[in-house]
Amino acid sequence: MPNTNAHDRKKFDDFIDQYGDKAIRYAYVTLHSRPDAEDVVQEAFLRLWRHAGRRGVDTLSAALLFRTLTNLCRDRMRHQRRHPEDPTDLLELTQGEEDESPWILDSGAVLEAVMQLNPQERQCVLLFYYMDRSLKETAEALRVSEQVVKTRLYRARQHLKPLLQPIWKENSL
Amino acid sequence: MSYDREKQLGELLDQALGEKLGLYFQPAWHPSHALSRRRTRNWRIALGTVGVAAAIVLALPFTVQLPHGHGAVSNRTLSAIHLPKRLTRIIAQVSQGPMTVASMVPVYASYPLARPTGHNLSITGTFHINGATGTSLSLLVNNHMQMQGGMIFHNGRPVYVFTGSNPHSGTAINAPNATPVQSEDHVKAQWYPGGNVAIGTFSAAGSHVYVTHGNLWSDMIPGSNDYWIQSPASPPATTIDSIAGLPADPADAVLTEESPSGLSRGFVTTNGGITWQGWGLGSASVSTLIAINHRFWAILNGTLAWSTNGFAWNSILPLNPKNWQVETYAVDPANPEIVAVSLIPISGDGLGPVLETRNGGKTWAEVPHFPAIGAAPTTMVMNTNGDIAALINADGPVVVRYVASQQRWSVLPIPAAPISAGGLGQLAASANGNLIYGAPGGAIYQWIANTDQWLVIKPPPGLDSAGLAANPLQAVGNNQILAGYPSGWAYFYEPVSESTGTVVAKSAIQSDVTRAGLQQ
Repeated sequence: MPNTNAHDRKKFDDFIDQYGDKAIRYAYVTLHSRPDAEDVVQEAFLRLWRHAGRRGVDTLSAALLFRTLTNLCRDRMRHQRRHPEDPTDLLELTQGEEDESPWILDSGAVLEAVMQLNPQERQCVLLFYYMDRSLKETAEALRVSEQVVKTRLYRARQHLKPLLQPIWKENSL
Repeated sequence: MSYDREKQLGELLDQALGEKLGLYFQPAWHPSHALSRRRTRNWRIALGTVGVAAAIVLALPFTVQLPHGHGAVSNRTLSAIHLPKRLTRIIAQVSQGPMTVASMVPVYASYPLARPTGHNLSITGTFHINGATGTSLSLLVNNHMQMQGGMIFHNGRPVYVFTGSNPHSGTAINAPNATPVQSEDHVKAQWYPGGNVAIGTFSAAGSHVYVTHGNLWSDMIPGSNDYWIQSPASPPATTIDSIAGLPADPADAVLTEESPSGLSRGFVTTNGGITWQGWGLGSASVSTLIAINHRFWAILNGTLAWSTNGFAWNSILPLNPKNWQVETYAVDPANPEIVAVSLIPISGDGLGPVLETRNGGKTWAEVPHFPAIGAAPTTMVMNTNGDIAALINADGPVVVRYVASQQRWSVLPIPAAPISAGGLGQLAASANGNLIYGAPGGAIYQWIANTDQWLVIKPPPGLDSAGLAANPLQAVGNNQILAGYPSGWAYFYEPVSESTGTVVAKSAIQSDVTRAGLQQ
């Protein structure tokens, strides 16, 4: 970040503290690939770093971060479609060692169910339920209308319902 | 899934992604570290490149002429889009300097089969043709990357449009001038204050004027003080999504409230809001709820539906819900059998067709040749001739019109907004077919259909638009416009006779305003 001063650097670090973990998780769920997610998140924060240098660190926002991430993920998915590979990361999750903690197993099953959604629904679910973005913010990040977000969430819930029903029943969550 | 479980969904995902998979942001990814690594790598690449270049220069005593530099992409994204040479040559005729393909959106112009029929390319750069200069080019190409049409924008405003493969065959789009709404000394067209709260939705039906604000609603009764009532949901909703009163029976209204999950529940009143009853559909995805004459209309779970009582809803578009959803729609105010819908594909980003039915949904036909703007309509309105106007919020607001008698779309030039005013526009229509356009920045423009002229209405005094377009923006009859802003709402009354176009007496205005329920 040009003209970096300690104050701005501290603000940027706070921004990373606040959204860094969520960003890597959002990218991972969107892309199904840990290396790709790591690349995309680094690129996203690099772009925000430059953006902060040009426009000031106060112009950074969660909406800007997730819009940047979404665009980068879209580019990476386009690349993946041209160079298809197996989503091995998902197998890591589903075929991993037995969990010693039952709630971790439940959360893993929830994640597995979410991973079975199509990419658009996954992004909506992540932004809306996990990132706590509003309908409007989710729509802005995905560059679609709120109506589209509503419909994608609706369909995601329809798809998740049968997948999650056994988990909800067994664990009375 | 219940609401509680939906709340847990986020927590469980957090646990799975964090503690199970160990997905945490690593300090080494901080841009300051990444940048220094990238610089080192760039140095290595640069040195290597210099070495290779030197070897090539020594080994090849001739040079290869590079193609003309258009289509070269600077600041490449992870997978930059490359254009075929044939298309690049055509674009080069209008492009000056380097350009970048900013996006490529699939276009699905066939219904019901959801397969791409082409793409819409958005290209940034400097474009100059037939005296028009722009900063971005939106191109429609078919699956063989053959140009079908395009539009040049200058800072988000359309300045040139063409169809077919020859960009030179198009026409320039000049922003029209707008004149202030006329008034006479004894009778003024003016704003009347509505209230100092940001309203969510608005619906005028006879003497009832239904308004929502947060999770409150009100029926603004003439001559009485404002009163606000909490959402009928139990527990009360955080937001009332929309409200609509039936013009043919104004005591009938439908209210939808939005839960945190994004789904809505509906309530129906048949006595002007004294009592409300659940609509029996449970939670559903609802948007664009309106009432025209005897029917409520809404986009319900992605498709268009209507109801005469708010309880029984009839879908009139046999959509394959896996492929399509309705983005927006327009209904002929004189004939509910004539309806137009704008579709978008559900399976990803893309633009769908605009369809029209003239028999209540029995058959649908595409309204063809929608201009290459690069985005789907966000609002559509229809007049009693069956003409459609659509607002597209692309890089900037664009209004297009479909004239049924001519069976063609054309751009309706809109007055230029200040460069500082960005963002979304709003569109509404009066009963007589005049269009009301809410521009970014807060000003409202009225397009008079008979004369093809624009009038400008300054934002209401005392209300801060915060640089945004009026929202909600709605016409009531032919002479009134309601506009909401972040700091409050107001309505504008134009004392113009529908038949003669002349100013009418002030007493008549007050009578009309009172009848419409808007007088304070």
